[in-house]
Amino acid sequence: MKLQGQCPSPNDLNDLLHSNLSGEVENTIEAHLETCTECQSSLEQLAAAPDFVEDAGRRLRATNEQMPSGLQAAINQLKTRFGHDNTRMGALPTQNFNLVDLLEPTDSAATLGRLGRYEVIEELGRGGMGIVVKARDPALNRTVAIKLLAPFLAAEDNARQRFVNEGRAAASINHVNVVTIFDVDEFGGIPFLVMEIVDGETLQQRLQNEHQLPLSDVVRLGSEVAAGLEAAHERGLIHRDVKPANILLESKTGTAKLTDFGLARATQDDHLTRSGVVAGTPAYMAPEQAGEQEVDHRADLFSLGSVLYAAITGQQPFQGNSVLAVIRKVADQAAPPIAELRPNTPPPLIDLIDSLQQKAAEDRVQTAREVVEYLELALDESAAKTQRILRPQKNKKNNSIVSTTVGILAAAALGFLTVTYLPPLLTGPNPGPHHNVNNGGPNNVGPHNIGPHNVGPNNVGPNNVHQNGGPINHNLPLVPHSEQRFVIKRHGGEIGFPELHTAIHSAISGDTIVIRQSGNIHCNRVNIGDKVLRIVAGQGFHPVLKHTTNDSLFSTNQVLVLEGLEFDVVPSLPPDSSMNARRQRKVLNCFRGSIFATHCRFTQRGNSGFITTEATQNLHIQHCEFYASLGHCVEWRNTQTSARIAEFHFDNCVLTGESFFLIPPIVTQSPLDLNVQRSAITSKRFIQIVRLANEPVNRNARIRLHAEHNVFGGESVVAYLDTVDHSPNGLDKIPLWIRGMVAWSGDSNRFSPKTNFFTILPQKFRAAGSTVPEWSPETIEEWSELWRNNVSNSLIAPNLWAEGGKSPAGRFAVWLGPKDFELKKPESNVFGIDATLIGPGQPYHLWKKSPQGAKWEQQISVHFPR
Amino acid sequence: MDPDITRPSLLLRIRDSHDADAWGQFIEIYSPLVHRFAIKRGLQEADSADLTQDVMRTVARSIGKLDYDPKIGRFRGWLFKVAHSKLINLVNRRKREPVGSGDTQIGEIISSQASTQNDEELWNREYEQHLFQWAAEQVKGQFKASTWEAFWLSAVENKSVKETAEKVGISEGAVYIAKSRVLARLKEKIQEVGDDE
Repeated sequence: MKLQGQCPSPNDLNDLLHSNLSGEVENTIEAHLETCTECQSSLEQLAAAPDFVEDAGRRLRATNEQMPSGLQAAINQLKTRFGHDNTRMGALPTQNFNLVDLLEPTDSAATLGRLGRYEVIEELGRGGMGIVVKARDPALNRTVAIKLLAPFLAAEDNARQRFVNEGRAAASINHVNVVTIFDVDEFGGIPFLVMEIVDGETLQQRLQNEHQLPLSDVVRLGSEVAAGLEAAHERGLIHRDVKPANILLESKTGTAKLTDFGLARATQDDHLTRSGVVAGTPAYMAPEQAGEQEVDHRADLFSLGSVLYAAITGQQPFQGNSVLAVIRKVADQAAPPIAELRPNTPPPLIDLIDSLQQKAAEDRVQTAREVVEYLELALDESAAKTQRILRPQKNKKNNSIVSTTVGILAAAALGFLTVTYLPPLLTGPNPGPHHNVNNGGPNNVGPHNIGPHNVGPNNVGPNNVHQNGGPINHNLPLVPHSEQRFVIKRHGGEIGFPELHTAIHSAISGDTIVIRQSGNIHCNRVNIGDKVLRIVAGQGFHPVLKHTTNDSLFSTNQVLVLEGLEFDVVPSLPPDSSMNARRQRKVLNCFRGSIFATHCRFTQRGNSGFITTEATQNLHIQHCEFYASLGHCVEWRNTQTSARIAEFHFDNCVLTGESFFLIPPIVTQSPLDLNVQRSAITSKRFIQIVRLANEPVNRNARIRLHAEHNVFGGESVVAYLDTVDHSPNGLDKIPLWIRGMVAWSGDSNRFSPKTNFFTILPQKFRAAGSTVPEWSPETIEEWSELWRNNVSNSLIAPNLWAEGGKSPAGRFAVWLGPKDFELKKPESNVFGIDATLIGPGQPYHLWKKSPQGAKWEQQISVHFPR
Repeated sequence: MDPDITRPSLLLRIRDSHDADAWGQFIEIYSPLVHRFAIKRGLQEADSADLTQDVMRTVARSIGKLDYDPKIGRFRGWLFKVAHSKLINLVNRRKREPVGSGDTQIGEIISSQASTQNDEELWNREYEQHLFQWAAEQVKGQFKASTWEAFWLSAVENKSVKETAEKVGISEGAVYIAKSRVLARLKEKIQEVGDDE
């Protein structure tokens, strides 16, 4: 009750606008408005923006031209031709009839009319299927809301009967989270429902104002709506239209109340869906509702998931420009990941929503009861049980909850990694107590055993390697502290840190560090040293480690495992600085250790490399993306003579860029095994797969290069052999000389060079200013001839480039889609990548370069999927 | 409870060719627009009526597939193009046919490039005006006569609040309330049937 003289609150003004106040209060405000200019303008603003008011005034003032007689006739005729004018009851179109005409007149100035025993105070709104009014029930002396079925629908027996039936069924629900229906009645042939009037706003309105709700509110909302749904489902009722507009939030208590039960069906079946179109927004409906399939109560659960999604992220899960676009997305596409839209969302909540939003009903949480339990437990923080509730769904085939975690582990475990090597960190869930010591300690690596390192204090023996692994621990309070973004996980627990580098410094050998933050992350350089470490992106998170300092971000002398991370290297100097001037900025440096990277992404825009190695034993890169405008992927340097063969694998990777060096320049005294498989390597200029540096050490280089099922595309695909002093004097001796250093074997590759197929270019010839020596193989056959082996199933396809020009300087393809890299020969021999597995974000799309082909530094922008 | 939010927009509803109600409104709002456009361009009544019906047919056919990007343009823009191109077609057809007495005379058709742009501007202006007036008609019935009058005097005829209050016989506070309520309702109605997404 407002004191006279005090200004009403914005809520009060809003209520006033919508006639939600009692007569007394209204009169008080009216009196207040006599004098208070602030409130006068507040009220006006609330109603409509000044522009609108001005427009309205102007347009309504304008005198209308006399309507030509022909026009009215034309309009009438058109109306009979379009839409089927239903005149069975002299049906009045919903929008056009005057409510007051429908009612019995009253003397009271406060009411518009009478509907049976109810006194209609005012109209609250009109929907596609009916009108809602505020009314007073004098018999019980309370205010109610009355929903009348639209007259043109009321004329159809089917719609009318269904409305009444659904109304009766809904009236049988008596639950705090469902708007109660008091009565179902009829007046003048028009059925209507009498229901409790809820003082408050809809969830829709609240979301419009607040966008993202506090997490505790979301959890509460979810459990209340689920409870309401449970009450309905118990009675065999399906809501079918769960959406924010149908969820009322009581002002005083914040309690959620579901409304408009089943009515969507009553009016939809014949009328509004005849042409297959769903009336209203389909943004929250379940996929099965759009189709012709059977719809059961699980459709409501899907919609609940969408509502929770909207409450958490502030946007609808499926958006589009038209009804059809939205329906398509609901049916086919996953919603944008919640973790990206709201990074600190607790994974258990994300898991729940994922489960609710499974396209197939049988893959969802099956009952509203389970949702209620899950959320109530979450609020209770005794979340051990939540795992159990979600788990039955986890075991179903193709369920997304389980596939990501297991998929990454499986990929790492099964892929090309030699079978016996499984670093302790990559074993599956529930490792046994002695598992890692026997199977995977750093002493037991692959066929090439890595002995204890001689560098630095040896603290990596089996005694120091801790247990870890195990399933993602859900034993967490649902709302984590924001400091726990970087979490060390060890067997039995977790410790959180606010910064990644502190987490790494605090980690001990054998730990896993989970990053639970998406987007840009700043991390100082860290020398990981001798710690065996695994750094992974938490489930649902997409961290991007931005690297801005010189020298590498992570250095390791031991085993470093990276999963699901993105590294973005930002150049310090302008791109047109000379190559020498630009400091080499690497991401990873590996001295004597090993790096295993899977589902990662490396991007850089300057001239730098990603990974430098020295005396490194293993480099296994799988399902990764590399984009570099200039510069190399790996720099391999091994000045130590050793008999041990270093292994380097690229499997299912994509490397694109302006020009690209895969492994130049190699300086090695030791044998090197290079395997490149199922990858796509393209660049605007050239690709140098192997480039032996002009160093004396390379005299004894033995490099085994095996390439299989790849796609190579570039201006030319080059293997540079850059040695000057020791190249032969005669052209005819070159093949022999080359074969002495590099052993090539390959199978099922596709080459798409613009100029030369493959060039081997001893620097001596280049320096002399000559063009490419004639013996550079131009065809697969010549290539085979050079290596004296049969390069079967490979082919040269000059037409890779979508709009390639003929000149060497020509244009890079404007658009390369994953299809360009996944090619099948008629014999079903597959080249190139499995795009669905690559990178931390899926699905994978290639970047697109500006068609103008201007300077790359302005034009190249990397579009990697999110 | 605000069911306004659940109300599908008009342009959405007419995708259902059986929604007589929605089509009725649509025809009331948009056919005068097309009709007047045709007349202004020199078409006779009969031809204009034909053109209007043809345009409506195209709308009925296309609206379900219309995936137009609101960023590129609004419905009214698309409709204008349809009307305009049909007019051109009609003109071209007439050129080839013998001219009857009641048929549009070619010489009366203005179809220069420059005038097309003016036409579109005029079209948009007429659309807005018509939309507001139509919406006002619809909304009027939901208010008491005194409420409406208060709104009209103060918001449309720009009379002062004092003068309005005196004329209508209510308090000044009540004038503010009336004006705001009607404007709010008007705004909602226009949002519902208009093409601003």
